[in-house]
Amino acid sequence: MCLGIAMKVVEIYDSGIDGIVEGGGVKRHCFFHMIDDLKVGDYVIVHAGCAIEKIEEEEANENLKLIEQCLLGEENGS
Amino acid sequence: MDLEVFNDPEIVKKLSETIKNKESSRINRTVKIMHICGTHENSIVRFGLRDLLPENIKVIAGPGCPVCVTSSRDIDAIIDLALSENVRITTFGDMLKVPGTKLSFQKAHSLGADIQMVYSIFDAIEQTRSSKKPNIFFACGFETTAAPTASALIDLDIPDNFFIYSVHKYTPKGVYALLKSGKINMDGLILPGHAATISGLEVYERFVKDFGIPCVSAGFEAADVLLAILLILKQINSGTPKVENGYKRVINYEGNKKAQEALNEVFFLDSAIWRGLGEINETGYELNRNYSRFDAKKNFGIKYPDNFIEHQKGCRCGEVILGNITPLECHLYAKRCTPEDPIGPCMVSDEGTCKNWYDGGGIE
Ligand code: SF4
Repeated sequence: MCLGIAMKVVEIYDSGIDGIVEGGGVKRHCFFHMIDDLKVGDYVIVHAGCAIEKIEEEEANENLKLIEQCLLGEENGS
Repeated sequence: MDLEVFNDPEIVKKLSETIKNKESSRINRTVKIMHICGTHENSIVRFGLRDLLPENIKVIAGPGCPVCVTSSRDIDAIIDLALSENVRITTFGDMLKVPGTKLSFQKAHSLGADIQMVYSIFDAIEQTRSSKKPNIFFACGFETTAAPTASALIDLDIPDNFFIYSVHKYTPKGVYALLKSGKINMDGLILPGHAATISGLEVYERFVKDFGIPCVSAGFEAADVLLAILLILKQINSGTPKVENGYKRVINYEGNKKAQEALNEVFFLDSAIWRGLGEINETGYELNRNYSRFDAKKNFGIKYPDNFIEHQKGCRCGEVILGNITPLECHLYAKRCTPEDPIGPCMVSDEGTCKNWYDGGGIE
């Protein structure tokens, strides 16, 4: 029930508050009213039929960088 | 966007080696790291992450399953109503098998109560449009689910026969109270990735300030969880506990403002009973006065039973939820208590610890 899943926005209806998301080959109806400035192609976390947050590409890279930094610290012995 | 990279076996291996060789070896004691999200337990079991950790690092599931902390009092009350009045109850599939004092929703359904499963509040509202009787959505879940409930009530055109029975709960205050009362203890806290998306991270600062506990938010891929564990161990080793964001691609420090506004508009926080843990102040989302026309508790004069039973004899869910024992220490586990015929709530939901362990094969 609480499982949030990353899905891609494939359609936004005229109302702006709902549309269709896709993930793992499955398409689903989804509400977007908690997120501003959403575009088709954006990734969102979908939870109980509602997108709760956008996944930011830039931040995803930063997230990865944080992991790399932690690992680099290891390799440098610091 | 390539999100699979957060499951890259090479990265996962390196993280686990760094935890082992660099951080845990510097700590000469057992470190207890708690997470408070059923989905984290699901990831930990699914990816076998406990096997990748050194002996002295224990990851424990805390009170992170909303179904498991929903009191029998509320389940009994709504089932009584469903059996005595011409109403339809809708709720999430995870709730159906959860035992109340005498009945679960599923058993009440077999006795003639009109109880339907839905995937979301939106489905529940749609179903109501084609129904002539009052439809009551039994709304369970932490802030991640409470926010969609609030937004739906604000933004959608809602039929007059739609009502809500809220058992939504607010995580940060609940966990803080349990920590303060000494019911749970831990050396580090993995913050719930999606609940914290809504609440933001600031609410966790007082865990650091008052208890000196490192708090790191985490996503749900293998590398996400290991990263949070690694960051917590680094904080322990450097003696600088703080709130850190290990799930930057989704969580903002401030949280989701729109969701917070919707929650504040629709709900206020009242004291709530957490199953087996007792009453905790300001942790239950109840409908504000402007939304009371949706409130099933008020509109149907809900009467609470005084003799409700939270856990059946022998069920140790209360201790499992607090992270004080593992499911293996319950002698009913996998013998008399299985997902097909659960005795306690922790064996029902995909977020329940007993269910996760059972599905993950921890049945020896
Ligand atoms: S195994 Fe079943 S009876 Fe035992 S604690 Fe878990 S849910 Fe309760």
